[in-house]
Amino acid sequence: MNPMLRAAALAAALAMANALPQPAHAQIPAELKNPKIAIAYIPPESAKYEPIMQRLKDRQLLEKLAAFLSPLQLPHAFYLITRECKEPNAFYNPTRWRIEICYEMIELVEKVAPQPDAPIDGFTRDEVVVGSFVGVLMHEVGHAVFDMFSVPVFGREEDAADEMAAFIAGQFNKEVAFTVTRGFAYMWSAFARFGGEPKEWADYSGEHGANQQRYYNILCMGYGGDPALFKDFIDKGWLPKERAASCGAEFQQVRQAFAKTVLPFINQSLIKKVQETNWLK
Amino acid sequence: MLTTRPTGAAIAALMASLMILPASAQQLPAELQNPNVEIVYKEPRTAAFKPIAERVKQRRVLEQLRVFLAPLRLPRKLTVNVDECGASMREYQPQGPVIICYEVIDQIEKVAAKADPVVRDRVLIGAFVQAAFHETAHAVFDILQVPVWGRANDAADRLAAFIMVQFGEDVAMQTILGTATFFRLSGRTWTGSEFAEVNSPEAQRFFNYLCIAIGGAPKTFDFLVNPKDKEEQLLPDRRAERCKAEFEQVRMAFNLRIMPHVDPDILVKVRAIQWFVPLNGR
Repeated sequence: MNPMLRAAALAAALAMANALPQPAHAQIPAELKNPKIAIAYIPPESAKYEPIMQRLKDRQLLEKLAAFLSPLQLPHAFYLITRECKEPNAFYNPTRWRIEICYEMIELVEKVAPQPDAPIDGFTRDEVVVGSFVGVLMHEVGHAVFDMFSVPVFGREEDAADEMAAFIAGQFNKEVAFTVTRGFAYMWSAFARFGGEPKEWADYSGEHGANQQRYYNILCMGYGGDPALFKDFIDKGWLPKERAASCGAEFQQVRQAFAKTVLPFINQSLIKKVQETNWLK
Repeated sequence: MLTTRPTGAAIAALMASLMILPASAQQLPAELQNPNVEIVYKEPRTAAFKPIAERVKQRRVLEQLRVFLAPLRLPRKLTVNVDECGASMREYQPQGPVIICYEVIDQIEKVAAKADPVVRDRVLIGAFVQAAFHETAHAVFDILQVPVWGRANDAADRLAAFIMVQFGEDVAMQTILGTATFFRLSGRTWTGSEFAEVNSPEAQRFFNYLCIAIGGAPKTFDFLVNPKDKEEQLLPDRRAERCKAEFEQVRMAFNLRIMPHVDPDILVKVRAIQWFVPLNGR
């Protein structure tokens, strides 16, 4: 689903080597089709987003996302679109049953990522661009799933959607878990750095957690799901030990919630195929 | 009807705050019991908590909580303790008892002492009920194996807030506003790795409670968004416009996952109890 993201990540580097043939991308397995899912790349108003849309098209972003989501046994139509939004974001629109990916969001992700060949704290540009893009996408998938399947959500839905993103990241091979968890966490830490800490009482009034909290929540989900893979989070002091102690239980809470409220809506033979596909390649 | 109105002293106010029922404690409806709810007042080790222990015991707060929990059909025992935790708070542990810490009650008392005397007893009542509901919510999620999306502490808050607005305007006002004022006066600022904590900042919790309140009782809590003096708007428009949906989300979750474990006939009886003393003669 985010391979094009990777493409986006590398776009700058590749621009100079434009003449090179495109590397082969993950083939979309033919059986991963869901007639209820429709896609559209909406042309941007601003010419500057044309190249982004073109890259997404070339990399078949929406085709791949549709295939990735094909095991969902949907109660109605579900639309996936890319468009210019006038803000760097992505949305699930519950009145239109659609996920909207903004060209501006891709631009932003590329902006906050480390420069090519200049990793920050061991985070490469590639993993941050791919990981944060997939994280954002899976967050919106979380909102969509909560809405379309009437999933009971007792906690704050925005945190729940982050949990969904981090949980999905862990359902593939270790490389996917590693890239998406780290990339998504990096994005929140970057937003936290740029935006600073909440200061005023009213800064806490939104439905979203603070970027700082979301950063730690993602680290916690990753570590809780696979402590060996993400041992770094502790060793480097990113995830405080006091929080780390509860991450196993936090992950289990999400795993059980997923099993009870979402898994029954997933076609089991198709999801196997989805899990076998290497989406990041 | 309860006639005691707390006067200035914080201790007197606390005593009144724990006198949740309008009827005297011995008039707790005898048929509203729950055989699976066990309550224990543990003796505090710290001398300073002994007066608090005396008061909660005398006011039979756990007996009242047990009446409140009467409609809940539980597959196993739920133990509720008032106990010394040895820390400012203690997270609920699976299979564990619900613990209302003496430290938490002590903290509520201290924060309430900072409040305007006019709202002091409301803070005491609201914050105490909040603590009891929040901790009980964790246990209910655990015992009934309720799937919880979102952070568990926020989920417990949302369920507590949802319950607070199910018992009429007086209960809703006292508990929600008392809780909100308690958070407002807590005086803690968050920074750095504190944002890693499993619990949410007081300010976030403040808005979460107010949001569920106005979502569930829009007329009662309209003043949060539309006060006479715009400067006193407690809940910003941007959040307020989502609160109906936030409340409905909790209601749907409650109806799907908890209501099947509630005896509707007993629930009616519990809802019929006039739980709080109307303050200020209201």
